[in-house]
Amino acid sequence: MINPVESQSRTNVGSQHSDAKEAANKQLPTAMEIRAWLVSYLSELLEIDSNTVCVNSPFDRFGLDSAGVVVMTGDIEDWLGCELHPTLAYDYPTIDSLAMHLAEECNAKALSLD
Amino acid sequence: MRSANDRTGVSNEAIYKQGSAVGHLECQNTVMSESLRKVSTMVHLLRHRAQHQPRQTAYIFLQDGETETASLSYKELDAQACLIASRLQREGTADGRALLLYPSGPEFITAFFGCLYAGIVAVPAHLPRPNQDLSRLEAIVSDSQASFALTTSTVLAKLERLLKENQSLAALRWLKTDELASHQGKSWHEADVSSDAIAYLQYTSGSTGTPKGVMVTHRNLLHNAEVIERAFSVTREAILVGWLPFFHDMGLCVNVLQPLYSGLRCILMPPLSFIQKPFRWLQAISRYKATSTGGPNFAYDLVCAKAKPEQLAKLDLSNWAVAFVGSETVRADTLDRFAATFEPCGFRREAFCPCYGLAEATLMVSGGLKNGPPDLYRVDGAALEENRVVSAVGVHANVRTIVGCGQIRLEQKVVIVDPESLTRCPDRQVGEIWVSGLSVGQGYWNRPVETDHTFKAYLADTGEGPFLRSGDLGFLKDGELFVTGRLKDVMIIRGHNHYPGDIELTVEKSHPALRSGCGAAFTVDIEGQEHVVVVQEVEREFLGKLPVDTVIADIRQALAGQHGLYVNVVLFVKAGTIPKTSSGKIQRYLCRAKFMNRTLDVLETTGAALKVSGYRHGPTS
Repeated sequence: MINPVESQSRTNVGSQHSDAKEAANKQLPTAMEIRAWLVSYLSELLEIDSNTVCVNSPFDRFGLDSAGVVVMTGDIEDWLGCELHPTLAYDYPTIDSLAMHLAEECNAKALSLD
Repeated sequence: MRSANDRTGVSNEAIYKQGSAVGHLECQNTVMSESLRKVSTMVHLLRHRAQHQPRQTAYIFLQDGETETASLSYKELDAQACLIASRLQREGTADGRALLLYPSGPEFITAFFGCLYAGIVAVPAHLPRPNQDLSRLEAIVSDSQASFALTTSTVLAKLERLLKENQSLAALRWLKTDELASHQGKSWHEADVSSDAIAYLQYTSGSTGTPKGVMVTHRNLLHNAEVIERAFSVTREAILVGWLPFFHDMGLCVNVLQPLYSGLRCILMPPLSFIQKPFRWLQAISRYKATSTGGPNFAYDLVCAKAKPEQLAKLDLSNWAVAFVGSETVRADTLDRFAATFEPCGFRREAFCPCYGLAEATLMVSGGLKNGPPDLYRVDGAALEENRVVSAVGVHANVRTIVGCGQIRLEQKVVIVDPESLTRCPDRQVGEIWVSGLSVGQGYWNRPVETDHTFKAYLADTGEGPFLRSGDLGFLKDGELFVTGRLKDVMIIRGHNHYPGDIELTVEKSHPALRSGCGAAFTVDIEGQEHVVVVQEVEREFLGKLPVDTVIADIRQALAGQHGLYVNVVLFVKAGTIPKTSSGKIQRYLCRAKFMNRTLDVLETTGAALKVSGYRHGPTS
C-alpha cells in the first residue's frame, strides 16, 4: 500500500500538474481530459508506465490506500479549481468513474455560477 | 474587568490529590476556577460551565478545513446533551453501551455528552467508508454488547442497505440525534453517576485483530485532562486547533475533553480535510494564532512533503508554543525536517513536545514542554541490542537516535521492568514500560483474562503493583522516558534484542534498488528453528533488472557489520505490496502472516527462503 507521505514527497506531483495546466484551464475540462490527467498523475506518482494504468481498476489495486486517494482529491482540487469532498474517490473509486463525475460536477458548478 | 491576579481562582502551586471518603477529586489547577475544585464527573464539569459561562464558545468547526461552519457554546452543548440523554433515558436502559457513529463534527460531541448525561457508556467508532469491510465495526458491537447506536439521519440513510445485510448492526436500536424535538430535553433527570463510573470504552487500534475496549472512568478522564493541561503548560490564553479523529484516543482526549476541562475553545477540522490539504492545518494555526496543536509523527512528515514555497510566505507560526507529537514512534529526522522547513515562518524547535501514552492509560503517560528543544539522544546501537543504554561518543557506525518523550506527571509512576523476570531494571537498562496512576483504565470490557494480564501486573521481587503493562520497551534517563520499540516486535537472537525498525533501516540503505520505508523484518519458527526473515520492496525502475546476488550480498554485509546478524531468508517483493496501515506504518504481523501463507508478491528470494517458506523457485537461488 502506498504511504501518502512517501509517495507524494518525491516530487510535488500535484503542483507540477496544476501549474502546467493552469493556462489551458480557461475552459472546463472534459471527462476525457480529466481521465488523461488522472492517468498521468497516477503513473507519475506510482512510477509506472501510463500504458499500464487501467481506467477501470479500483484505486487500491494500484496500491493507493484510503489516505492516498484523499491526498489525490486535494491535488485534483488545485488543478480543477473547484472544491471537492475529500471522500469523493471512495464513491467513485476508478479513474473512469471519477473523471466522468468530475466533468459533470464542475460543469454543473460553472452553470450555477452564471 | 478582571485583574491579572484574579484569574477566577488560580492556584500557583498546582496540587492534585484524590478526595478521601467522599470519593470525589480535588483539582487545584492553573486554569480551573475555585468552584470547580470539587468535580467528580465530566457531567458536573460541563453543567457547571453551562451555568457559569453559558455563552462561551467551546468548539468552532471548520467543516471543509477552512471556513467556520458551526460552533457550540457550553450552554448549547449542555442543552443538546440533555435532549439526547432524556431520549436515551426514555428508552429505559439504566446502564448500557451506545455505539457512536458520526462524521467528525459537533454531532459527535453532543452525542458523546448525551451518553454521559444519561449514564450510558459511550462507544465511539469509526464510520465505515463505502465498500469498506465491516468486520471491525461488527467486532466492536459484539464485544461491547452495545444495545444502541447513535447517529445522524444522513449517516443512517447511507447505512440503510448495510443494515439489511448485517444482523448484528440491524439488531441495535438506532437513534437519530439530529431529529429530536427540543422540548424533550426538559424531561432529563441527572443520573447518579460516581467518578468511578465508566464514561466510555476506548477501542484500541490493535495490530493483531480483535479490538479491545479500554474502560475509561470519569476519574481517569479528569485526571488525564489535568495531566495534559500540566504537560502543555495550558493557560487561559491558550488557543487550540485540532484535526484528529474523535474515535481515536488522542483526538478525543486532546481535542474534545481536555479543552472542555480547561475551559478553552478548540478550533476543529475533520481529519480528511487535513489529509486532503495538509496545509490547512498550518493555515488555521496561522490564522487563529494557535498556541497548541499537534498530531502523530506522520502528520509532520505529510505537511513537509506537501509544503509549497508560496504557501510558506503567508504563514506565521510564531505563536505555536506546543507542537505535541505522539501516538506513534517520534522520529528525530521528522522533527529536524519540520523545524528546518518552517523556521522561516516563525516555528521554534522548542515548541516540540514529544509524548508517550496509550489508550489503556486513557492517553498521556509522559510528555511536556522543557526549556529547550527535545532531547535527541544518541546511543550505541550494539549496547542497545543487549538492552544497555550507553551514550554514543564521537563518530560511530552503529548509532541509534531516540527521542525523549518527556517527564511523568501528577503522581503517575513509570517503572522499567525486565519482561522475563518481572523485576525492576537498573538505570540505563531497557525494559518494558509499566505504568500506574489515576489515569490507568479499569481494564478491557468483558475480557477478564486479558485484563488480568495487562492491568494487574506485580513486580516479582517487591510485590509492588498493580501496574499496567504497556507492551512497549524503553528506559528512563534523568526522569525522562525514552521509548525504543514494541516488545512483541523485538527479535531476540542469541540473547541480543534486535529492533525490526533498525534492521529495516539498515537493509534499505544497503542498496539503491531497495525502497525506503518499505521493508519488514520478523522471525518465524519453523520446525523448532527460529529464522529471521527480511521482506523488502524493490524500486519500480529495477523491476526485472534486479542484480539479485549483489543486493543480497550488500544486505548481508550491512546486517553483519551493523548488527552482527546473519540473515539468510530475504524476499524481494513488488513495490507497494508490503502491508501498511493507512498512516503508513509497516504491519509486520500481517506481513509475517502473508509470508507464512505464501501470499506475498515475491519477485526474488534467497535459496534459504524457498526452503523455509515453500515459495516457488525463482530465476536465481
